[in-house]
Amino acid sequence: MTIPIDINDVFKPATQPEWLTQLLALAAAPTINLPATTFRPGDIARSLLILMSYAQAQFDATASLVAQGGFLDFAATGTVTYPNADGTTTTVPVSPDPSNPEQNPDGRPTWLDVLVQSNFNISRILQTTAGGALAIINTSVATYGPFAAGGYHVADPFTSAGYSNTEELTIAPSLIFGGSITGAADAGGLIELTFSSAHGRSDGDPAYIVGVLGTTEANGAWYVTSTGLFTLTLDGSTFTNAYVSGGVAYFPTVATFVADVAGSASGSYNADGVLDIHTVTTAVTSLVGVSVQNLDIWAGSDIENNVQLAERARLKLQSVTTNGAAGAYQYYALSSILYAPLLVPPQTVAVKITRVLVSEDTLTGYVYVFIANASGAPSTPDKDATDAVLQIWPRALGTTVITQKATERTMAVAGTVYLPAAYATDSNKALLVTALQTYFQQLPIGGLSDPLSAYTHIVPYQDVLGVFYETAAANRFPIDNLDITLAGVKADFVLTVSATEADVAVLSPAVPVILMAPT
Amino acid sequence: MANITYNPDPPWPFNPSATDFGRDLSCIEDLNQSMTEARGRQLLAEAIARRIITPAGTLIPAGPNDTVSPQYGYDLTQWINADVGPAELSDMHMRTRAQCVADDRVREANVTIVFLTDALAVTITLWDTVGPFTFTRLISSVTTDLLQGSTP
Repeated sequence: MTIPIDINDVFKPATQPEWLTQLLALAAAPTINLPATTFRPGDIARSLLILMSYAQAQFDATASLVAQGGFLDFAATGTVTYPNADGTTTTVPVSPDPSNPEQNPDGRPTWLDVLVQSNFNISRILQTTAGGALAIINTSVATYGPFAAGGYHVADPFTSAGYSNTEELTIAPSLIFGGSITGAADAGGLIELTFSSAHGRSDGDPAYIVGVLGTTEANGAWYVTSTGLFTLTLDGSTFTNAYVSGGVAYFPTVATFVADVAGSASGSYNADGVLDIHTVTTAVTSLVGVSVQNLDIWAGSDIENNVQLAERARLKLQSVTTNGAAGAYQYYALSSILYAPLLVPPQTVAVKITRVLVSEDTLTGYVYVFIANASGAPSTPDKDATDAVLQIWPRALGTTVITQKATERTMAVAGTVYLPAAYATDSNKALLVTALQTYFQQLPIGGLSDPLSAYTHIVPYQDVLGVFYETAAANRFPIDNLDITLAGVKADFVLTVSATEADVAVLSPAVPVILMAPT
Repeated sequence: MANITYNPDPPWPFNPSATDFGRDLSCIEDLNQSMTEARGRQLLAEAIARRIITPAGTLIPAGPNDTVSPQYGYDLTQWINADVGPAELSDMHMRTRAQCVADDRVREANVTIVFLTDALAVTITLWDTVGPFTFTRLISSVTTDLLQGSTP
């Protein structure tokens, strides 16, 4: 006789009422012979048995947690529910996800961490802390400091994220170089400044521009490239407005700063929620004549969540196969933040790669690995470091592997949510915005495809609507109707995926414009 | 632990056919060291004694569908040294009696409450399948004593 057992039943603990029934039956058995059938509410023996039934149910829950902890998917997302003596129930995850502060505020290791360490020989990717070079100019005659490490504070006014110096810092008066600025021109899209005297700067030197009128986008902290004795371009700039007059350039003090709190939220975001330079502009430690700006993008990344870790553990199996299984490239790309420091010389991936698409050009035999992080395309240094990892570890002999950034396809989600007035709140709107951001951060490179080829490589419009409805249901507020567009239309957005190119959908603006309309 | 005094000494007359209330550990506020058992009318008296010193809703439920336990208990100790008016006194009698008859072994109950200094003297007459019996409980802020019991 075959008795089918659902896999979930294997881990299902006996309930408290089931335990009470069992205990009462044991008590009434001839060997013990308690008069269980005459027990009334409040009787001592009965109350003791009830207490035992709760305790046994909780032991069962613990046993279920242990058992589930031995199986990858259950360890990642399994839960167990047990009753409390006060009539409430408690549901606990097998592995409280460290990426979820409500589940695991201290980021403690979980059953899943033990499992992937012991069975797959991998460990969770921890969160990284945003930080980088900060340009500081001091237009006063005073020298400030020294400030001990952690003693000088700045902030991003758009996020209120705070940062402090990593080493002792002294802020001396900043010197002007090149006399004054006499012009600004378009040099292949970059801003090229002209000075009244020789600027004396070398490629890669920092500069802090102030007081330019007209080409105001030149004002701020930049790395520069010398294009002549009296001219230089501002790296990463975009010439937009014609020069009018004015401007001087300071040689700033440059120091390394690091965020007070680790994780992606401490990145240098601009007003649109996009990582950018020139966003850390608030000198919390206020000093007369001192201004600050970040010279490069400061990005941190969040701790790997349970689902991501389980996925990487499964990919690890492919990484030990021969002939470069696609999963091997995925595994090492997703793990590049861990492997890059092991290269000789060591390299760094600042923001962990979270999305990978592997394709093969059958004409050339080349393997293309497209990568993206939660924000979209990675920085060039992150792409290069990931490429170096892929060339060393998973690349099979004789194989050409080309690592490319996924191509960002920006799209807006906008429109109106109709719901009862009592629920048209800012907090509910924030929940919807966060859910949309999370959806796009996790959307695979190349979007979604139907296994039966009904559609391929799209951002499904219905999925976007589903984000609204699922978020509302999960947070117990109703939605009467939606009038939402994806990239301006109410239709799927088609992404490009070929052997040599792959799109990744990026939400733009990063904070969708959603109106909450009371019905 | 409560000192329990009976008059006459327990066990009270025990007729298995009429008052077979089963067996349970003897307890009002706590078990005694020898973990002795109670049965018959002693068992019933102790069960009622526990009911009228247990705050409502604090009995551990037998399970998620237990609708009886939330109705269990009425804590008379809350009234010790209280300034009680006629309406409240009437309510105390009614609720105490309700707790007595909530036990399905009790057919009827009569309750008398006397206020003492730092204590209440509660005299309860219960009618079970055999007939009435009376016991008096002294409920103080530190202990709950079953002072005496009598049988018809």
